[in-house]
Amino acid sequence: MTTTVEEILERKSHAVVRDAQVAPTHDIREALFELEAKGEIVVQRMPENHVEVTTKFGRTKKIPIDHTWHHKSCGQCGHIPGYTSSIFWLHRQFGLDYLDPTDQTSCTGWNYYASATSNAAAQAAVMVRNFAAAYETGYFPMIHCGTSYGHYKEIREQLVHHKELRDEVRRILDKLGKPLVLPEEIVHYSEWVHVMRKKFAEKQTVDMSMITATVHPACHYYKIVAEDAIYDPDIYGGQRTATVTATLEALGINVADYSTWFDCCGFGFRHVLVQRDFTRSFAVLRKIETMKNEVNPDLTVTHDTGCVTTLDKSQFAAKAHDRKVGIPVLSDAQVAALAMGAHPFRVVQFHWHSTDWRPFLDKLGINWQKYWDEFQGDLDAIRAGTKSGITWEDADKPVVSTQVHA
Amino acid sequence: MPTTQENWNPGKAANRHPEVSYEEKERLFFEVKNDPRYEDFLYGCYECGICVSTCPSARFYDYSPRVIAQAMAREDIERVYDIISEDIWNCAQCFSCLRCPRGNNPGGLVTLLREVAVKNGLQETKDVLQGYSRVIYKVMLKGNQVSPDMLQPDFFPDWGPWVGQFSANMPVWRKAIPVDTLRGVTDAAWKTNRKTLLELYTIWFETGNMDIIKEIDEGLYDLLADVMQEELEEG
Repeated sequence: MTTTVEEILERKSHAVVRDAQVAPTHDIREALFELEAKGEIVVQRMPENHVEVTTKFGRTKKIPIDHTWHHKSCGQCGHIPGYTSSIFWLHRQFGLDYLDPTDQTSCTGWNYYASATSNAAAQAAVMVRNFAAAYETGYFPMIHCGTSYGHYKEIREQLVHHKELRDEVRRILDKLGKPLVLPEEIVHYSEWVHVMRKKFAEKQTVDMSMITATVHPACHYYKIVAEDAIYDPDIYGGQRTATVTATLEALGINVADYSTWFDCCGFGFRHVLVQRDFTRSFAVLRKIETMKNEVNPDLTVTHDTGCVTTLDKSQFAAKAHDRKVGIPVLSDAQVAALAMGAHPFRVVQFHWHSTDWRPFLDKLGINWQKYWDEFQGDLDAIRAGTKSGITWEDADKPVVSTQVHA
Repeated sequence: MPTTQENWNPGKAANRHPEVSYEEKERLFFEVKNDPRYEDFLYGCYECGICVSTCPSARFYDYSPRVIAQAMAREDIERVYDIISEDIWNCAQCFSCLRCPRGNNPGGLVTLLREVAVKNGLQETKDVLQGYSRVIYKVMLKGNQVSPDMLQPDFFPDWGPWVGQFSANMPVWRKAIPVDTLRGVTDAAWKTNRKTLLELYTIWFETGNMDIIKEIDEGLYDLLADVMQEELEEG
């Protein structure tokens, strides 16, 4: 099922037409159902409560609203926990049914892209094991990490195209007592945020209309298996992915464009851990400084683990070289949660971010010191042993409110 | 240096690694080319340079995804050996190069080249990955690439004084996260149950992933294999 050169040239030599009937790539989902009909795989069906969106070439993609199994991100949970807690907090505000599982591993794709100390069969088996764990619960997987999302979509292509790989993965999954199961759609959390954006705006308690933000679209969201990302003719004329930008606009934020929007953040997988001279240079010189020079935003927003980390953490060292830096970095989920009144520290967890976020909160009219003092009270109680930790009971209630413009 | 008839080499690359036989270089090349994914990643090359213009690594290193696609397509064994022993570790794996109008995937080619470099234990690859072993240890044993306790000032000095705060406050700050699977966890990104970790170890052994680790770092392999085998035997 390898794509021929002729098919590739046909695809690339015409303007993008948003018509599923003439889409230039195969619809991988049809191939999944064909394999299922042959008894080769199981396809987990989309929950009844879902919304349909349009992807790059005009195909329809289903996004589940609830009954979701949350495939967490190791980088988010490990280093930016407010990213994860904001995603769950948003679900909880609407009483949506979700699972936060303990039978999930990371995709291990970060390591694979960093060191290649793995192989195709291992990567596919890790993915299918996670999908099988979701399938066993009946909940539909929702992927928090952009790299997991892109990596899994690429592995899905490989599994469909290469029978030997399917056979090998099936052999391993048999040993684990699990089926070779793939979900009907591979869904990124930011797609859920995208389809929920108007509902978020209905519950908005913090006016964000004075904020100018730039968007960094995550490479592994829309460059890998590009045809599966959400596009909307009303956002950038349908020439760039609509996720994140549409969400910010729904929340009343002014999204400003900048010339290096297509550039990656500089993460580099191995580089960000052990060769950060490259990561820092790229993040500052090609992204942050360009944004600063061209639009001087109050905030930059993205939708992936590595992008938040890289863009946020790289700014400190650049100050020593008098570079133009100082743009706080958040995920779309954190911005949405803040807009709906989430506690800046119990939920959004600003204190794990490095670039100064205080001017942004000041501009929103949020008395962050008050909330920080409250949070310090929580920490004191934890230290004293009178409180075991912060729970959803402490965090669920929206607490921040400013005047929202009509 | 001006280009002259003598130094201009429009053909295949010169032998820059005479210590490695041509046969060995050719063997590595065909190991890459025979990967089932190879034919999905390379369809030829227009030499248009679109991949280079979008490549972050090309801006900061002597690195070109176009050269990689070209060398592979032309079966330039010597050049491919230069690439596999040096260039591949510069790639940021962002896959911006998928913008290729010919449908090539230079980032994917790099992945295949890296896999072969690792599997064959090339010395340059061992050198590059030397400082990275602790991360491999974490991801293979815990199923997470990073964990909160990795946020140490000596590991991330350039991330500013906040890293010291993260580190000093870690046990308490991690308890102050409302997500049940994260609360209080510092040595992994989230709580993973034991059965899941045993399944992960089974995958590493069954797919030959542990053999790959052994090739690249025998000490690391011994550490990992000891722990995993003991856990698997306990069941």
